Amino acid sequence: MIKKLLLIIINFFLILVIMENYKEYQRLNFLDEEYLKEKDKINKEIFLLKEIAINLEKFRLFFEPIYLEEIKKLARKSEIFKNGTYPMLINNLDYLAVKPKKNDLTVFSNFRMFLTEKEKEQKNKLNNLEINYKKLKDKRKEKIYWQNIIITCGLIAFFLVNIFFPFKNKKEKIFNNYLSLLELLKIVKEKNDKYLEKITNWENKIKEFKKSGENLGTSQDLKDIDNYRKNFAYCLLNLQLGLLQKDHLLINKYFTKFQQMKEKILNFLIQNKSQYLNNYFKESEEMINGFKEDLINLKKIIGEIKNYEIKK
Amino acid sequence: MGKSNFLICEIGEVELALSIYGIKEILWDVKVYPLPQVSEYIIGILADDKKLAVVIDLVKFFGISEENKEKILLKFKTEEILVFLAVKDVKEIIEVKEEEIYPCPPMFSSLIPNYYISSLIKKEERFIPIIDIAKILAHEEIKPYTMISK
Repeated sequence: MIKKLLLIIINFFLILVIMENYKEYQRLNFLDEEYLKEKDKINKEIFLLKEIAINLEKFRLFFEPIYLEEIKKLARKSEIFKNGTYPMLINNLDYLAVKPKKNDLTVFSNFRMFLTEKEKEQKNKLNNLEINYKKLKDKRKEKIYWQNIIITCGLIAFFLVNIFFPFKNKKEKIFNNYLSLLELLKIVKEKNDKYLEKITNWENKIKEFKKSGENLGTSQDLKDIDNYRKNFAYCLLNLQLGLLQKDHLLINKYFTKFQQMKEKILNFLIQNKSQYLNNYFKESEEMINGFKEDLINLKKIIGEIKNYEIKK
Repeated sequence: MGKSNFLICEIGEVELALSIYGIKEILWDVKVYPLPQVSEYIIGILADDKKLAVVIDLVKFFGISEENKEKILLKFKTEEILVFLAVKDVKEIIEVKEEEIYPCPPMFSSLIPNYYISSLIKKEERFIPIIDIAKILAHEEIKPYTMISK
């Protein structure tokens, strides 16, 4: 549950950042395009102004109408000359062309001043454009850089969640649903079948010793063994019944009993071993130890199921 | 493919299967308090969650001779019914596939009347009759005692 929630949050966050990151890249490309367009425009204006200045100088020197026409042609291409204030300058040149007054330098001087001023203006504009472009580009790049870091961290977090909370770990798989609990019960049952078989062996051995006339074990012992075995088996059946009917009260009740029973049986068997069956089990020392280990494992499994059931 | 779970019990030397539906618990080592002047199938009374319920002896019900006095009780509870069914032993809970259930042939058992056998489980080499608990509880001598006490 925690893992799912974490993954949902990480994925949601990652998707948002990736979308923003993509948009930012698009904005950056657009910024480049806009900058280049504007730069070209300004450069073109500067070029036109320079060309007009050259032609103006030629016109001043030679008074050839061809230069005047060239100035007019260039002025038509320029955005600056579209402004209503400046056609006057052209008109003045026209006037000079009709009545050449070589000494009328004011017209040329005004025109030249205007061209210089405009060129300076355009150069400033270009300079500002470059500064602004760089600033904006740096800002966008920084944003993209941080977004990339966040995406990388998100992906690392995603992998870490998978490593530390693996989905398919056996325990989680077992506790994943009710059917798996039955699977677990099968394991418990298998262990207990083995366990019951051992108890029966002990019982039979005691019976054999009794038959052979040796004073090993009393009737009370046999009765006890039988009782323990019965209790154990019925506890297990009730557990199975509880799991099949999803009766948590029944499950909890018999888990407790089950654990108590195990302890009792183990103590009884160990006691019996020392009292009556020393010789018989001399070579089977490992059996009791293995048995004890089985019980401890079983206890763990049952504890886990119990905790799981309580949490549920 | 349907699967059902059955409780395999012993009454005398006879093995029978009961559907786990309605069986809420298996009890052993419990003291049953005898009731006077009731049907011979009812061997006593038992308290469950502050409610009293009768104990029906299936061994006696099917007329099987039984020396062992020890009884294992099955708590059978539905919304309206609460009874304990006494059997000699409960062996296991088995999962039975649909194809392992057969109709009961006439005169299958000389001990259990066919009327109470709903069908037959054939598992490996075993043939186990499935007992219809509802029919037992509907028996005229038992029915008056099966309702949950208020």
